[in-house]
Amino acid sequence: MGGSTSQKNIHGQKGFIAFILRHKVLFGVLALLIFEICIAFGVHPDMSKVAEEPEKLKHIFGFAIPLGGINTKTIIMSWIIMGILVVFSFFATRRMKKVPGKLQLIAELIVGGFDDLCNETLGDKARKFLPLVATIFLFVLLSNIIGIIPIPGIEEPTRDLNTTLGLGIMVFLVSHIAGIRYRGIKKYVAEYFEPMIEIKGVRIPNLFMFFLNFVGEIGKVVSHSFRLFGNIMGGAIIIVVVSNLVRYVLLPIGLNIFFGIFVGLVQAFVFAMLALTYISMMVTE
Amino acid sequence: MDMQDSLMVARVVGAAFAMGLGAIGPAIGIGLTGSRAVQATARQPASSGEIMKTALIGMAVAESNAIFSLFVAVVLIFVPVTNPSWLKIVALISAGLCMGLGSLGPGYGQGYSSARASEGIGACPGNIGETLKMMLIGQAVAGNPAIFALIVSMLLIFGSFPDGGGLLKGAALLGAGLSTGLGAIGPGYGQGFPAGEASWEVSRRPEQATLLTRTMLVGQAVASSTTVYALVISLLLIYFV
Repeated sequence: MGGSTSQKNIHGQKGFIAFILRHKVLFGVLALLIFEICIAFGVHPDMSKVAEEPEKLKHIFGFAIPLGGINTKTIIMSWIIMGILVVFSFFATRRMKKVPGKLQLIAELIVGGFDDLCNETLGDKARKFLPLVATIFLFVLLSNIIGIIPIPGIEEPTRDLNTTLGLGIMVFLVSHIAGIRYRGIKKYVAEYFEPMIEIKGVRIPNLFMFFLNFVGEIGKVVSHSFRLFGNIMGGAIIIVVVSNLVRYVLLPIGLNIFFGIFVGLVQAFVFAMLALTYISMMVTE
Repeated sequence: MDMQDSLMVARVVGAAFAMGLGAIGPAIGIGLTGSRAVQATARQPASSGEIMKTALIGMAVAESNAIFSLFVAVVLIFVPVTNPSWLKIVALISAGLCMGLGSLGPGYGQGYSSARASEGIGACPGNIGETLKMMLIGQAVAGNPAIFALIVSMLLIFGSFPDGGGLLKGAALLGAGLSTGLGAIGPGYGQGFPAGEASWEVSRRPEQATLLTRTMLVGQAVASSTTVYALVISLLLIYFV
């Protein structure tokens, strides 16, 4: 008891206030919870927003946009993320020193980590693809994480299939064009007919295998982009449904941390690593 | 019963199939990872932090199959049907079955690979970077069957199937869901083995990472070709019967 009385004397506070000050984190959470419950009484579950059709821009300067219009929210959020990345890289690399500052340290960690990864996988061609892979990672990571900011209108661009499919098709084109460039068109085409039929030492292209390999390549793009989309969209829908069921009390915070930060980070890394792997499978012999 | 009531019946039954069946595989896989993590921690208590990290990341990836199932179930329950028809009843039940069956195999396979990775980290905690990388690539590829199942379910939920095909078209829609759903069990289960063994081996021989990645991916690609057949048959059944 001596300790507590001396503490009281030091702070010059008594009884209840001292008790609250000693457990300020606990009481802070409790106050937040009570506040949230008070707000929750005014909120009614509304499940109709689970999977709304997004607003689309259908006409621009009097011309109709083909393919059903443009999802403006996705475009705006993508540009915001690109802006954040540009500003970050500008300030991180503006005055570079030998002993790095905070921003430079973060940038060095990211670039250095991906440099090592690319060197392990691609060897001497690593520096050619490092900017692409690292940018994909940063863009997808920021896109996945930005959804935890609780402002209406801020949504993950990766929730839109168009974003992820665009990224997937970009990786597909880059890897195949790089494959043709570094190994030559002959080897590139021959790979589609593997495993070939061998009769007395003569290798005959296998047309059936061409069909399967072709579908497999398309399947790569589809699964690459749908994996990211499904995880982010699934997480977002679960957050909306659970938030409605518990009337926005406390639980959504934990869900946001799990789906926004943890799943977002893992999926961004998986997306970038698969892009790197697809490129390396095409480029190396 | 009018059409909206019948559609509601189909939606709830489909949701039950999706989540009920979809909970089986990921749960077993996650449990397997947990059990191997316990073993590894008992042998190497000093590296319990690394083992825990690997196991948790692997579990989160294996869990994503259950999240796909939940996604389909929630969409089935809450999202109103945009283009109602009698055939849509079959399509909705088929969508639930497809996603539920489709997450069975991948959930187990991904759980197996993260289980082996946790064991490997327990044996050689120094090589956590290479092991995590290999585990994540292997798991991501092993999850492809579940993604195909998700695609087929979404085609069945949001597609429009005007009446007129009769019993044949209804059977084709049910077959489409069953084809990809059942066709995902084996490939998902099987692709977990190369991923698991590669994660285990790379934790002991990190210098062989590139070669191991390529061998693992070839093995998984051949194993996953069967799920591509199933997807092709499903698309044929949905659009060409």
